[in-house]
Amino acid sequence: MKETEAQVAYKEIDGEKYFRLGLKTGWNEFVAGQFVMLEVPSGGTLLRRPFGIVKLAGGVLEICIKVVGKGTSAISLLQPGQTVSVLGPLGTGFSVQKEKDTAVLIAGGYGVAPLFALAASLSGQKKIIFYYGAKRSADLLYLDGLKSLGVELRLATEDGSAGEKGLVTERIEKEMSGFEGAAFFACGPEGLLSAVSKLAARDNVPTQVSLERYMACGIGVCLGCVVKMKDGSYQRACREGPVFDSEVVLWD
Amino acid sequence: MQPNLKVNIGKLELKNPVMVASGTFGYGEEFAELYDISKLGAVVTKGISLKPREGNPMPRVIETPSGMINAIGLANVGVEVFLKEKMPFLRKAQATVVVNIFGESVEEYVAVALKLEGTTGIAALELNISCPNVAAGGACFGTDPGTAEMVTRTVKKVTSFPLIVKLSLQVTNIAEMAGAVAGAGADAISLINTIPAMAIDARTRRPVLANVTGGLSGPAIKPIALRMVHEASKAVNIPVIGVGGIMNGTDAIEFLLAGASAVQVGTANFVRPTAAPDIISEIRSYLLEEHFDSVNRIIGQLQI
Repeated sequence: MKETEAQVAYKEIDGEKYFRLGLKTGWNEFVAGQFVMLEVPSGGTLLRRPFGIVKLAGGVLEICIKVVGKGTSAISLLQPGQTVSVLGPLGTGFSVQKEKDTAVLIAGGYGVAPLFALAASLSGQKKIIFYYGAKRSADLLYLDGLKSLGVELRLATEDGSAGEKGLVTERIEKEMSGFEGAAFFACGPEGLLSAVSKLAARDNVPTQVSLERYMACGIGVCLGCVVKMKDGSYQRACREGPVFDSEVVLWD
Repeated sequence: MQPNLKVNIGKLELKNPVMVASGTFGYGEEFAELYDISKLGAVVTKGISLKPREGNPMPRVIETPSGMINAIGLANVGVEVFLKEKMPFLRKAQATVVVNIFGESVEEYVAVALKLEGTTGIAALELNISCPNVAAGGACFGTDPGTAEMVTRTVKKVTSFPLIVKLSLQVTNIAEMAGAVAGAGADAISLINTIPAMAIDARTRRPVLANVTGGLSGPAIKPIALRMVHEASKAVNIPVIGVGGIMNGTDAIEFLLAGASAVQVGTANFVRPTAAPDIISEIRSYLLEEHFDSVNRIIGQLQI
């Protein structure tokens, strides 16, 4: 974990509400699934905002931001050349089992960020089936990048504007059976993760989920981002998580 | 010449007046990855109870204008695990450790204090009689001067550590409350704790926090904290530790001028992890610029 004043290397707008920021952190290493806490420029909000790491190459870190409120609006005003404080890499990322030769990645909308990083790290080593669902095609991000990683992309949108019409979990259930030799890695809305974990429990598929929680500090001290476990304990999404084995999480 | 930053909290000498507030620093391990925590005036630990506590259901925190509301519910590892697993780290890091303790009864406060008695590396205890987030989290001890006096006197009898009493804002007269705990043997008081508050989601028509209410902290509460510190420091002869929305060196100086002998940095630790060491440097710069040879020259020096 480091706190770094990073210069904005690039900013790319993606549709109405998304943009990608390249940040010159000078960092070299991260584990897919880890995240950063980004300072909100003055005039925005008090607390930092968490973002999953999409990629890190040549010391430049990329995150993807969805403009949803005051904090992300203030961040969206950052321009190349300006600096911003980045704290990270934070949390526990995905751990990949060697014995499974197929990785089934399941992303919902904006949850694609850590799974893009995971796909990049597994590319060429495992067969990657990438299920990606969203409300509409405009909410499907990083499609070109995913294609160039050589993943088998299977899309679903609720309005049918891209891929199959319906929920991505419905498509998984329809197309996949047995899941022998496969492991699931999922990130997205809680409903999607809960559905994936049910499917995984039924067919005994090892599954890791990346959970999103509102958080204040991001480094494990405020205890504001905890996740309830089946054993009744709380674990910190920012430290023991955001990636958890789905079988230890208590799903609603 | 470098100005002298040392301050005294009763018998306890701090290398500088910047402490970090309970509940914003865990047990020091995470921040130690970012900087040398022995440089701080003191580390005040997360509040410790006799038994471990899991805390409140989620959601537990929400940002509000110029602040945040939390209802963590005093989640902590409990005194046994604290001594076995957390104190060794703090000792090794050579931190000046103030252990924040709380109980649901006077007996529990006493039991926690007794368990800590004789532990190497503890510089002082901070008695939390003001957490607003659990039904019996000490707040009932902090709203009535008679009860606050009783719990302070009882814990003081069983501990050899300097005793800091952290006061609630929910009192009709802060001077009376400060006087009561000073009279009961407190070596110092710290104030203010978070302010009971709530946030509502108009769309879901529900409270944002699962606990319904929580404690407001951050810059939003600083002016209130300054006023309370000013009044309390005029009322008692024991040192006052100022807490509430301190984000930078200037904020800290304001508290010192108002009468605080030291300050605690809380929410700022979440915003900028190096806030506390930065504030130490900023206080030093201020003293140099204003030609003070010691931080003690500005404590309580508000000109009215």
